[in-house]
Amino acid sequence: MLVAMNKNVLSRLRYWPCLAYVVFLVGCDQYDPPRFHANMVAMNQQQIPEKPQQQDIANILDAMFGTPDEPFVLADTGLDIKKLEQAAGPVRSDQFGRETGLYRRHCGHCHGTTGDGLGPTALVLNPYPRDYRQGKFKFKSTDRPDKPTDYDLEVIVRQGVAGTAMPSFNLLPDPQIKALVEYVKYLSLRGETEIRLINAMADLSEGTLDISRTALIDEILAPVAETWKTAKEKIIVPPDKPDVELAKSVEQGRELFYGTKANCVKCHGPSALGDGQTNDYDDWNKPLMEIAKSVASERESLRTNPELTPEQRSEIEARVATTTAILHSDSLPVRTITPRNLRLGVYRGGRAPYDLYRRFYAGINGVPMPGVGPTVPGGEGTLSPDEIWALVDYVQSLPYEAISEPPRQRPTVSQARY
Amino acid sequence: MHKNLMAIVALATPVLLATLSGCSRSATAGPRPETQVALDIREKLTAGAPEAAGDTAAESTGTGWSTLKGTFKFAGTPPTPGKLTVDKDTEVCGKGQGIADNSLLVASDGGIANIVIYARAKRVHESAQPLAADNSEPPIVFDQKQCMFLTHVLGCQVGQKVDVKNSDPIAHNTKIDPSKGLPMNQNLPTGSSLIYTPTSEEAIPAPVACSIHPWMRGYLLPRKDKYFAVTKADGSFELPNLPAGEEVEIQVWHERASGPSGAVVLDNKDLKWTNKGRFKVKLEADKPLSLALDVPAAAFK
Repeated sequence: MLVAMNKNVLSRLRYWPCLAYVVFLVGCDQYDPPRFHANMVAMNQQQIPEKPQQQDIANILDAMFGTPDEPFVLADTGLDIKKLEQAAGPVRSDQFGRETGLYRRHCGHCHGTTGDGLGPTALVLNPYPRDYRQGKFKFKSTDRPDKPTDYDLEVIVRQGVAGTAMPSFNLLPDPQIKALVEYVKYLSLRGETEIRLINAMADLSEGTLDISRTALIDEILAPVAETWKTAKEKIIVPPDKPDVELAKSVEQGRELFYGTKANCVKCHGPSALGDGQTNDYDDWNKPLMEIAKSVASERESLRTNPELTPEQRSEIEARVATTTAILHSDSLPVRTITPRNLRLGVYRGGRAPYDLYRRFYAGINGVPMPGVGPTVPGGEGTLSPDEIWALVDYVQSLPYEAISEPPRQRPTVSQARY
Repeated sequence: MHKNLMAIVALATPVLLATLSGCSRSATAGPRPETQVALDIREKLTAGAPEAAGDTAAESTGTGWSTLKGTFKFAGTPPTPGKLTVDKDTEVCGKGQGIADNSLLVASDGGIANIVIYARAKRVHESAQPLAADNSEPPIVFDQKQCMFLTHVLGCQVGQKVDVKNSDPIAHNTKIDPSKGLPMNQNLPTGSSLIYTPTSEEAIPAPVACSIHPWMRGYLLPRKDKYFAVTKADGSFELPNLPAGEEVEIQVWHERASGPSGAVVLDNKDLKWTNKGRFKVKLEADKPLSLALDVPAAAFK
């Protein structure tokens, strides 16, 4: 019995070298350090398919920002390379326990090496992880078009985003959180610069971008860097809440919610369940939806338009094929927006009254949610500060209305006695 | 038997794993940066020495001014416009009649409306100069009624105040998304209006939308100088006071054009029309040039 078993084990072991050999044969060719992916969707949209122009953009970006393993920043960005070096690169710790590669360890699997929100786990998440490259951030203390402050990003990293897959990283040491915030700014600045380079390239009637500080820094990088540097001057400071009885304020907020002045009801729905408007798109999905629509219409014309010449036909076919391939590998399936269900009491951008005040005042960047504050500093908004506070009170009361609470279980046993 | 099975499993597993995991995933990561070229560019960008000014800006060579005008006509049978999906506020939006898709408007004589035509000139006539930041130009009205933007495509100058109005008995919210300048997304209650001032020149018209009524679509093109025009219902346009005696680049855009980013691409060899929807003209002073431009159905999608 024992002998037989031994033999069996031996015969099993015989195959292991064989298996190792196969793995060796199949194995990946070489260690390929991770690299930043080009924004192929934007390139395709602006029709920069020619290799030399794509190559020029890749070179300029490499010159300005380095690689995922070796980041680099120009002084014009105002970013701190020491922090970036701690966040970048492969996951490691040195003999003193100092950790590097923080981004890849904590963030990259969702937000992607490039910060494009295309990490391996992104597909199964709802909402999708943020794509930083547009430079648009939703939950922040600044006005709608402005960048978030460092503190805004830090709050998101520390607290996570309620109601989404973004967890809290509050247990990380303070310098690590600061390093990650800096790296997110770096990826966002890099992504936005890339989009601007692509647009500038498309805007040229011929040739390629001029390699000079004037063309690349003054025209393209510096204006974006400036928006990051000046973010903390754009913080919305809510004025004091008026001294009004809560019930009255809630009632006023309710009227605004359903009225045409604030018009919340149109998107958040008559019962505030977030079901009023579900067929619109956010700024990340809208361009993708439009590309998909134009591909569909080109397919349709291939099928139905008999006037197309063979050349036109093959041109359209080639365009449809490239675009489809790019959408497939460089974007996630398009999703429509979900206005927040206000009866849950879950607020992604923070639940403090001043958080809600800022949401109403500025709207939410990148999504259809409009602002009701003034469009220019010192101007007059659609709603006055007191009205915004009333709306805050009403929205905060919604999860506590009887209709929001789960149905009570009936006392079935006592009923049976009658 | 058992052994054979094990051998197959042992051999097949790594192959299967290798296939599933794959080595490099994305086929569309874009070209790899060329390290040495990138380092050279970096050196150039970090070098603080300011470059000699004015060496890249092309000097203008001509004198005098002239006008470019013309008409865009649809060649062939224009498609019949469909109806938009109006699923909200139907009693106000289109007055219960539905709203026609006005993205491609072709007149009975073939004239195409809402084509934007704008110039990149090296020399700018005094009547087309960029506006000062504190200009006192009266605001241009950009109104919406029955859930449609009354001006479908609006050209304006940077710094020109635009009076965004809502003449409907329901609320709208107007969302302007320029790629460079300041965006806007503001709630507009019944009968209200607000001033939007474009802050930056755009290369192509920026979309204007309403988040409450997603079928609403408009466009806004801010340019520094005044060399822009939107074709009228009969397809005609006029760009007065363009610099003469030198090449001026003209760009042509339409929201439904099939070229890149809305470029209207014509097969026009005389004007050397490019696939970016551009052509160059050299005008003679005080001799207006008139173009008759036929746009084939294939130029639209």
